[in-house]
Amino acid sequence: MKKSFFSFLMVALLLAACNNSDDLKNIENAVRSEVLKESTGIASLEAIYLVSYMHFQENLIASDDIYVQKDSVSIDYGFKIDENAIRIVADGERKILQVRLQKGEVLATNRITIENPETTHTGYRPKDKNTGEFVDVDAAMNQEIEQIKAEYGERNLKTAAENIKNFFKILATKYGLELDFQVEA
Amino acid sequence: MESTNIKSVVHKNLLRLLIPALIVLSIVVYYVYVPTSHTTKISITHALQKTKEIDKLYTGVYIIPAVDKKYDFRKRDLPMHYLNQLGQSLGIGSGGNDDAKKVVKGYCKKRYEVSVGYNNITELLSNNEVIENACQGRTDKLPNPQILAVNCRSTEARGDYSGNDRCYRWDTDEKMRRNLLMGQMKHDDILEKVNKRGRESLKTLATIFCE
Repeated sequence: MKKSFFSFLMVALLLAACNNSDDLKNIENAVRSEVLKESTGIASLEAIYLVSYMHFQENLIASDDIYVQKDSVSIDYGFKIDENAIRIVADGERKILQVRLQKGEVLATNRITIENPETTHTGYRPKDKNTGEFVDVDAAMNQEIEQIKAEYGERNLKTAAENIKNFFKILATKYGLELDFQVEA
Repeated sequence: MESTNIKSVVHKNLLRLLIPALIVLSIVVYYVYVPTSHTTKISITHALQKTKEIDKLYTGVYIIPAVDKKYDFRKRDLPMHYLNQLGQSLGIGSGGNDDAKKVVKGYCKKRYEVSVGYNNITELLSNNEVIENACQGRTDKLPNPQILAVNCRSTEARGDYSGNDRCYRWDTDEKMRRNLLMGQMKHDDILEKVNKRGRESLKTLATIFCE
């Protein structure tokens, strides 16, 4: 009698465990497929930096020289997500959506010239006031872009992380899960 | 003695039947009453109640230099311009408009940081029309993002440009500043890109609620 009851308990527990594990796996697959189909969207924050190079040269006799050029750089900040970053784990009765992301990064950069240089005199090329050499406008603009990227990069990555955290928060709530979200520092 | 044996046999047979029956019953009860993956389907309202702390969705950050240029005549064109004006006032000569000869003489450049997105995302995600459009893939029907914050990061003025000019009024007049930035984004062909990106981000969140 004891043996039979013990067998019954074992079978019931085994079935419960299998079903619970199947349940977690099903939710995990559903969450993963929802995330991976949209990974390029919410995973990133778009930043567009419009940069302009402006040069002013005062002349004694001739008119002053002014040189204005504008470029646009679009940068996608975000996180690369693969399915291993998303897991559903159980802690007693609680089901937890565990998300572990690697440090955010620049996913794409695209620079375009949006305006041809506007000058006081046709064909005017700006010169460096200290060296007297012609200025490499492209390099100067690149330098400004790098400065802006350094100034805003970390903050934009934080906003991108906040966005993706919100995305997972809603997703976890939809599936009745708790969220455990971490981004590598 | 014989009746005791009969009782014991009946008892044993009953137990043999009862244990498998109990197992089958437990399995049935388990599958009927214990929640399975079907419980993952919950209503949108319930999901949104728990996400009320999500207020803003930032979809983009844009660094926009707003440049105001002042145009005037070159030094070499000034004598001709004055002669032209004099002739016009005396009724001599063609008196034509020579404004086309004006060139940029001074500028003011401000660098603005513009954060774009949706202010009340919870309210938007409670809107059935938004969810329906997102789920049907009608991204163009979703609302465009708004300017959420504007910060002026730097100001630079050179040449013939005075403190009374437009550039300095942008700091104090919010409506003028917003119009300027919207106009600048339109002029630089990024407004449509900004709107499209915003709508796509909204769609990503909204599609979580698709059936």
